[in-house]
Amino acid sequence: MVFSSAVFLFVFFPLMLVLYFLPGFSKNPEKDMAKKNLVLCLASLIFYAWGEPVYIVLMLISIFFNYNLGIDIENHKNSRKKRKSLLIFGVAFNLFMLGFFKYSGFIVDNINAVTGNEIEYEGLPLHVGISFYTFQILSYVIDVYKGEVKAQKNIVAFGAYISMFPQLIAGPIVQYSDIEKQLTSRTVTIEKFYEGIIYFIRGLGKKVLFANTIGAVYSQVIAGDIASLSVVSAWLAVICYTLQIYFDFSGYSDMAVGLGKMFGFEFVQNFNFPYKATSIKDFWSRWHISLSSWFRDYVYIPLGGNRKGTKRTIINTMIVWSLTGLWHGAAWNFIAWGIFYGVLLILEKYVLKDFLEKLPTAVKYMGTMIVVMIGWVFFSSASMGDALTLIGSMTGLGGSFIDSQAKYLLSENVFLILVMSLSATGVFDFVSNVRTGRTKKICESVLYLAIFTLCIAYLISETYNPFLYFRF
Amino acid sequence: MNRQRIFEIVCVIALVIFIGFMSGESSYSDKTAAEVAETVTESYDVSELRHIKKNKIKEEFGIDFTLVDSFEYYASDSIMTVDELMIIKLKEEVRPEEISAKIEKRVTDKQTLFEGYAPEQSALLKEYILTYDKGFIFYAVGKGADEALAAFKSSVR
Repeated sequence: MVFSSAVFLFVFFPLMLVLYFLPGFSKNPEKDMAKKNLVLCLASLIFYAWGEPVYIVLMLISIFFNYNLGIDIENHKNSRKKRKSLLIFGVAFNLFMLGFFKYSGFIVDNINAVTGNEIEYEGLPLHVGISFYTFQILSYVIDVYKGEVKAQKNIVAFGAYISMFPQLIAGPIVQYSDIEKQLTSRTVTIEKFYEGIIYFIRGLGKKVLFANTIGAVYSQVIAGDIASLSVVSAWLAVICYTLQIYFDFSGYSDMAVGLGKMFGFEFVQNFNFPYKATSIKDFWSRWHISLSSWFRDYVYIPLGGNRKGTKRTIINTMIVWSLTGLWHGAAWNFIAWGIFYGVLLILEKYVLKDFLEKLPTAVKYMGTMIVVMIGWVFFSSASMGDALTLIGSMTGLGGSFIDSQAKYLLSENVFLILVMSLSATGVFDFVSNVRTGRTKKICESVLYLAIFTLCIAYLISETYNPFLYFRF
Repeated sequence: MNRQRIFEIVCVIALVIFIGFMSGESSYSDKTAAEVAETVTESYDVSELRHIKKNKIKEEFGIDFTLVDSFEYYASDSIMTVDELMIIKLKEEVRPEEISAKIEKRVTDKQTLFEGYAPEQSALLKEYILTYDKGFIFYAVGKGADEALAAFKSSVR
């Protein structure tokens, strides 16, 4: 099920809200919270089962296993050796699950390519959200091992954390330590609920009005032979994808944060205007923040971070970025995309630092955007070959500089691109922050009601549009 | 052995069983759309239909071809003939909902078009078949659609 669908907006979500806020069977706040967690957990499982019901089994196995493992680790707090072996067991179990269901085909293909064998394997249906919830589970298991959080003794609360539908499918990746207290104590005020609605509608608007619209332009450009695209068409495709992925993914994150608020949770913000970045490091401190934080906390720092000299820092950076690429997908173009960023971050830090610091901000901004867009070419392409072909077309290897399709699409969409570009850099948020107080709230409510109405109109006429990050 | 350890082992066993079940039940056929269409057209007459190219499908259905591995599509040049057969093999890991929804919308639009003045075409459109199996989307309208579906089901396995 997706948030931007009629069944979610008009059936699932209202029903869930009613059940969630129905008075508890006890005035005891603990029991009321237990009921809320139960509703959240069951609804999340239904939400998840909607697309591919068979994988609900895997999620239940994962919940039961890690719930027991957490308690097991905590019960051995006096035996470091036992705790460590349980941690290794748990990490291996979870990574095996992720590896098998996401990467087995990729691994077998590569073994076949290298050895010349023809090992056969059965393709598996996409296990939506597995990368996100596995990372959440790993944060829990590792933090329990380190003693930074207590093992969750209530399986319903634990199940609610793992399966929580607002962020289950495409993040943000919520670390257990950030949400531990909220699982047992959280409040929903009218203010917070209103804020949640605003976040949700903003995300819905980003997805339905912006991402889907610009996504259609992108599909139109690359529908033909990408090797013969004109320079302008190729750049237009990349610009459209750059805008689409931001509005699609940040739209989903906004909706997740908004839904979380409506249920009393505070999730981490996943985006902070990444297209305003003036360096690659700056970009990654603003894009998919929860993933960057996860890799920093659970891979980069445990590997030694930057504490063991330059050589080791470079190796650690490359490991983290190769894994970041691999996390996004089981294909070489994703790994290349990760390595691309690893190399750029190293160059930025050790080679170009002094030179870059002297550049005017506008040049730094333009340079960062061009690099990010080239990165999206690797990310959006079906294979490395396609990515290199598109880059070839962007540099003029494909054919003419501009063709009639490019002229038509540009003239039709230049306003949309302009509005989306300004919106992506936060200009409209700045404008909306000018006024404060009651007037602002009235204006805001009217504006968001209008956005919601427009989205509904689009959803009725449009067909199913999944989020890009679903596949990761 | 403590209770937690027993549950952990039970989960490991359950995972192994689940993997065995999933591996036995392949969800993605290694055949191409052309191979499947070859079998299907033995039971669905396409001699009066035209083999349609990519651009036309994009125009008619609005399908995003970045999601498609291969496809075969037969339709008539006459606007009064609603018979058509489409077999799309999606790329691995692509879910069928987006493309299926576009096909459904196209059928609904056509039904609206014919309703009221072309009862025969309208009836055929109401009996359309749209299904997904083993990475393939199958869509057929016409008298032989049921037989074509049976041929499709056996072909993708």
